[in-house]
Amino acid sequence: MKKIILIILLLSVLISANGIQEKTESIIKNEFGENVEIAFSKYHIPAKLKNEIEVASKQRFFAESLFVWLVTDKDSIIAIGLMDNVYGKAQPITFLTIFSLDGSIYSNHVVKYREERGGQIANKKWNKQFVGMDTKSDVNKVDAISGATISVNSIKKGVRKLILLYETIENEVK
Amino acid sequence: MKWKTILTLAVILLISSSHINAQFDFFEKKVSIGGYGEMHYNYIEKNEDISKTLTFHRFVLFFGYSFSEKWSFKSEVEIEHNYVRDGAKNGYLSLEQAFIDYHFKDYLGFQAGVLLVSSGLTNIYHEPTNFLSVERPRYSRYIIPSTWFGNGFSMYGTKSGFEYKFNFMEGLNSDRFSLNKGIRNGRQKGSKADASAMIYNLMINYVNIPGLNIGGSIVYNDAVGDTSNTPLTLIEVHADFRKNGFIVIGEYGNINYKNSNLEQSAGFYLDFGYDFARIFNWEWQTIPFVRYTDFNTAASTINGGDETKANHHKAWMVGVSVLPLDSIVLKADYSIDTVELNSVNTTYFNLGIGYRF
Repeated sequence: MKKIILIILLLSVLISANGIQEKTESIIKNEFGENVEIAFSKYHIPAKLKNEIEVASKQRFFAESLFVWLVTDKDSIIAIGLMDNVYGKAQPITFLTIFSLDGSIYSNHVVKYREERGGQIANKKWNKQFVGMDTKSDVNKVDAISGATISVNSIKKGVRKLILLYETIENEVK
Repeated sequence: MKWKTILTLAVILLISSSHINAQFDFFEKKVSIGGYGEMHYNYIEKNEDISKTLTFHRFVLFFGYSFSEKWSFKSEVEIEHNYVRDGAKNGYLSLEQAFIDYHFKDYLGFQAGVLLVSSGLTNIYHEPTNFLSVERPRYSRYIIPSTWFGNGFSMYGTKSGFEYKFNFMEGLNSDRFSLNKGIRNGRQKGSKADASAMIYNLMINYVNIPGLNIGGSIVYNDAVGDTSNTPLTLIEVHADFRKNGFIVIGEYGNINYKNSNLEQSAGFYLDFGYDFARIFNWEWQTIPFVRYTDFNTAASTINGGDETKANHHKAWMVGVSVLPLDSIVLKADYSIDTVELNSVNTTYFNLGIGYRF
């Protein structure tokens, strides 16, 4: 009986996991290797900065805060990931933009997509179009995806917001 | 004692895990409102008869609600041609989509309610910013009767770059099939639909190459009416490729009928366009395009004779689609449609403005 209760509890732990943390860590290790250390924290966006970025990007932030993922190797920060959400047609799209320390995008990933159609925005090759972009880049040059107009536009603006936010966060975490 | 310790640790793990995962629970209950619409000017000239019309062809409102991360409701209500009046030929109000969606996993979801038949590109992606011409391709009216919707159930998912959807839905009324419109008038549109002969429909698309959507579908229905029974099989293939400003879209479909004078409907169209904003660095996407269409709603009949020639259409179209924003489009096109019998020409000149949000 005790064994059964234990198994049920352990299964509950596994089932209750929504997978975002695990998937994000997996993405980061795929990018930087198994030996890097990963830590995440919630970052509250200063109200004034939040407003300025929302005006510049023409998109509101999903919430008052977002998640910062620090990637360290031998006690040195090697990359910083910012995780945020944007709305697709109805549901949030969770995405992670990883920055090199020069402020340019190292890689971009859709961590969780919740709609029936338009899942192509999670495609790795499509997301590679963001690589190297910085504050001077035009995210509108990223190719559209037929049938996923709303999701594509949301992600493009969402990435633009994170580019604009990165410098402030980098100064705070370093 | 050992078991008690393990049990306690498991409970702590469960509680802490829930706490950690709650941090990443981004879902919030939410009402979603969206829509699309298009206004058209149509100039049509046939045998020296000219008609000119200006109509708000489609006004569609999307309304959805997310109950939880897995359960949601989605709907689309459409008004065609501005208003609806009893007895008038024009004007149309319909519930084109209204379903409960259970998104269990990316590879498995379920829907029940008013659904779209998964056949062809335009029947699914029918917002005006998705196709190049002012009106939807005529193939998507006469071979695949867009918008084709009805009551039923579906199972869908995405795996390894493939999307699939299986629909089990209300069937078609075979009494209303015709030589000049194929299955179009057989749609029951969910209104107290006869459920004695359901549609089995499967679509598979490969979407793992950015910019490319390629796939096909099959629809089988043992269609019945009060006076007829016409089993039919619709098989279609389609591709939509958009890369570096180039746009290539093509669809081909074939319907085989049994127990009927009408034995086959078939057709295709091919679009080629290019966004010149890429070259000239314009802010507005500017996409001149050319289309060739060939379809015959009576490609084969038992009676033969002129029936086939009278319903065989070929058309060239040239046009331009301009998008100031990704969600707003201005369009113009010119085409000449030739019916094989007596080589009757009809000239079309259309202007349109469309949006989606």
